[in-house]
Amino acid sequence: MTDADQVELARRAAAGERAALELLWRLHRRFAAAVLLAHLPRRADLEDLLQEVAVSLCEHIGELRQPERFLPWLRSIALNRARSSARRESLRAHAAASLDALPAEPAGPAAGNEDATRAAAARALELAGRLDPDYGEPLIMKCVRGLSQRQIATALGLSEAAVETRLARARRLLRRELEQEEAVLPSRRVAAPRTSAADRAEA
Amino acid sequence: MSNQPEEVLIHRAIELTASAADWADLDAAALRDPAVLQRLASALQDEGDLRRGVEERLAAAERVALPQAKARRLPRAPAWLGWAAAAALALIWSASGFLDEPAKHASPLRDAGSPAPERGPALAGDGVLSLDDLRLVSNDTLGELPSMMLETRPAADGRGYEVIRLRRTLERLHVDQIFRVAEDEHGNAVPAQWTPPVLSERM
Repeated sequence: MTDADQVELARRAAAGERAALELLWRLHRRFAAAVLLAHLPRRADLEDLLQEVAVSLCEHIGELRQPERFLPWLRSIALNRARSSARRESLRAHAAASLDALPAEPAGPAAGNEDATRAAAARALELAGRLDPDYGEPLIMKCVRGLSQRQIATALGLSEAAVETRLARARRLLRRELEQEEAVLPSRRVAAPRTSAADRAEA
Repeated sequence: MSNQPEEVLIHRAIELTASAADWADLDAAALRDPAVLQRLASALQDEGDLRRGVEERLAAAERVALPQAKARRLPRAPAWLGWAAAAALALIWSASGFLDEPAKHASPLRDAGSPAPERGPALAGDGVLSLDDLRLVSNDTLGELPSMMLETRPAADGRGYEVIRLRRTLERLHVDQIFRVAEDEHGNAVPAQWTPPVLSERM
């Protein structure tokens, strides 16, 4: 679908055409999810927040005045949801801190039991989410299938050259974070599956 | 020579957007410092990890659909509007003249085949209420509240002023029945006969 098609779709959706809105959402919900991922408090539920974005989109699509700027508009909705969630998380964390007898959260599966590839992927995403959003957000957006560097530039209100510079720097920052984490917490490095002869003998 | 920083060259190599000049620069940089190739390899690995991490989380986005379009509902009216609507309906009913022409003003809610009661409820077909048309059982003017000046301007003929004021008269009306606006199971506004509480002491 060309950019012109998408603008037309956004225009029809803003005019109240439900089918156009449905298609627009299917095209861009991954983009909205990527924005949430870049700004999400770690404990927030992505699916719940994305549902809030969908509801907000339905409620406010009639207010879209510039269909060609649908992506930045959708991003602002997702950003607002992420910030609201961050405030809620902050309040919850504050309340939890004041409760001495708060039961500890159940521990997640140990990294050593996870598939090494999945663990490395989750770790890369977590560290990308910890980067300054100016760098982390375009880096996460870049991983959304079908989203071009030009569309990222439009969504962020930047030039393509600026996005390229940020992406290049973001990669370097991510590598530095990964190296620092490995240096400080070598035990968090993903262990290879226990398939040694000793393990087999133990079994 | 493209003279780009190393991080940009690596970014372009990963994005497959590196030009011949970019590759030449990268080759030259690797000759000077072989660790450049290691950084390129690490960046490629980080890219793969991050893409997998983002993809895994974004799979949740595919499950989030737009909420179903809701049937249009009447906006919640302020409490006083119920009273106003009741009074208006009562006046309309009284003024509709159905006493003279019951068939013409028959309620659309009534079965077509059933005989119209002699003084049954009626809905104003045109919705226009004119004081001249009122056929109240009785109507006493009890007094007038201080008027409110809304607008003044020189008269069109140049003599004196045109004044628009709001007069609030206090009247006692006597109607046979009072109706309120209620909602049926589809959310449509329908009149419902109503027995009001005593609002104030008799004047």
